[in-house]
Amino acid sequence: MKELQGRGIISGQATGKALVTSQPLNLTSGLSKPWNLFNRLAAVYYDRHHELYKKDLYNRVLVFPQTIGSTFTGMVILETIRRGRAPLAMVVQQADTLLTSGLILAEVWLHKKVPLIEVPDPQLFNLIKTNDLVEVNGDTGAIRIIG
Amino acid sequence: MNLTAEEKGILQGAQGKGMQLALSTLVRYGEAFAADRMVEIHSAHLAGSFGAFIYRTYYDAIRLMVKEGLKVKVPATLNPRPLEKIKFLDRIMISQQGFLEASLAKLGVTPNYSCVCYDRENIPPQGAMLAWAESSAVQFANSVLGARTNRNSVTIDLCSAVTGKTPRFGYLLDQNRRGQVLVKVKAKKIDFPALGFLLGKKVVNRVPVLEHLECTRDDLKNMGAAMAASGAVALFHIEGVTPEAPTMKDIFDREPDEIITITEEELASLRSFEKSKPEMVVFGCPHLTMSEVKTLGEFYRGKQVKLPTYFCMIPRVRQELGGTDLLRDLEAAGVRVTAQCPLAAWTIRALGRKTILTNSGKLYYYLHKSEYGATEDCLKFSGVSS
Repeated sequence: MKELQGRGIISGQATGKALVTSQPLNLTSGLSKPWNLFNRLAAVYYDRHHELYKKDLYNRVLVFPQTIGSTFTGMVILETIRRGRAPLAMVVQQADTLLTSGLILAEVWLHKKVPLIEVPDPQLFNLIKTNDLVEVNGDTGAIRIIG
Repeated sequence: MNLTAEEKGILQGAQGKGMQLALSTLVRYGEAFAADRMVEIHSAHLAGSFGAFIYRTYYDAIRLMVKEGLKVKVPATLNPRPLEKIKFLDRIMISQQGFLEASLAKLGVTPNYSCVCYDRENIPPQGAMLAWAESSAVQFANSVLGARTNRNSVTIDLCSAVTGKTPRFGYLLDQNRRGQVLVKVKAKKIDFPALGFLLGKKVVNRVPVLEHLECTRDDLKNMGAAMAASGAVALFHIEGVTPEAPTMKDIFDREPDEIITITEEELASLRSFEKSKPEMVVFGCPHLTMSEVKTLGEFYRGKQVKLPTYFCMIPRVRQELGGTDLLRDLEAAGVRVTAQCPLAAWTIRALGRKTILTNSGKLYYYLHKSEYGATEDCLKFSGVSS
């Protein structure tokens, strides 16, 4: 069983299947597509140049470097969380302002927490693999790969 | 974070629920990035100008603030309207546009309706602390004006506007504004949006410093917007051009972490218009300034467009064009002059839309069914020669 230690930014505990990418995510362009908007704000990633093309982010422990792109990102994440379609938890190499804003807005305005842990480890995407069963603790920043 | 007595009071509800939630959000945001305290801001810029039906929490926040009679504490400009002539089907997507515009007006937001707020309505001095959203505007404020803002999200921008504060972290601090990556551009003629598009992908979130090159402010606007879309770059420097980098020694504290070289071939590789057949031409993402309208407009005088051609510009610029020969000539040529946001407009009107050719790196990045062309390619497709 592998263990990683990061910095907890949004608290809460969750256990789920990892979805891992080493490519930054543009959550505005990836998620704000008609197929999602008219499907109760589903969080299917529609960026055809990206390795997560057509993957549903819902309920996954999403592991990625950081977000890029539009300042709408915080609001996109916020509304996805509101509709209950968001990832279960997020593990990033760098917590950027847009991703972090979205999760903080959800915490303050909706009282909904999606744990966020920052692990600035260049080996992160070798240590956690897609479909690993991962337990995250946003209070302590601890991550355990249990299956 | 060290909070003032007044800030602590606001967190306890002394100024109502809207202020309490807004400041709580900003304090949590600051804590996540190890901010030591809040700072008063010079101005805000709000990106949330599209009344799309999905943004429920944003509208809840606005409704609460309006109900409690809150007003923005600093000048707060606003992003463009998504569309100007709203047709029936559009109303489904942007059903809240009327509510949004009226509510933001009640909060005292400046109705400039442009991402290019820094052309007239919102020009901060060097060193000013800001809370801006809109990645292209953040770029310009940090890089070209030497003001200081983080990449703030929609809704965070609103929280800052009504409290007049932002947490002190990130690009507000000297040490985070230093050069990290050196960029050499080996090209005789520089295609600025293409350069921005490529740099965004390579640099991602670091601070690039470009060797000296000849450019206009509009070039920097267009390059910065593309860089902020294809990456997460909030600040760039150009040796001898931007205010914080008079020389390389002034902006680098140590050897660059990386040296990136961009060649003429790489810049040209972005020109993709031969891949599919563009059927309309769009200029203006970010919005065109008067100077750009005049420069581009010259090519259209006395000519006729071959393809639908749009000039998307700052609303004030369109107003100033009213009654001029230039406007008359543009309209006679068949150019459609608009102040809408091309990215929003052609995302909303995606069904059965024609392929767009644009010289905007940002628009090309975001819009599906779009191709990139340098300005001369766009002029040529449009039906006029450069």
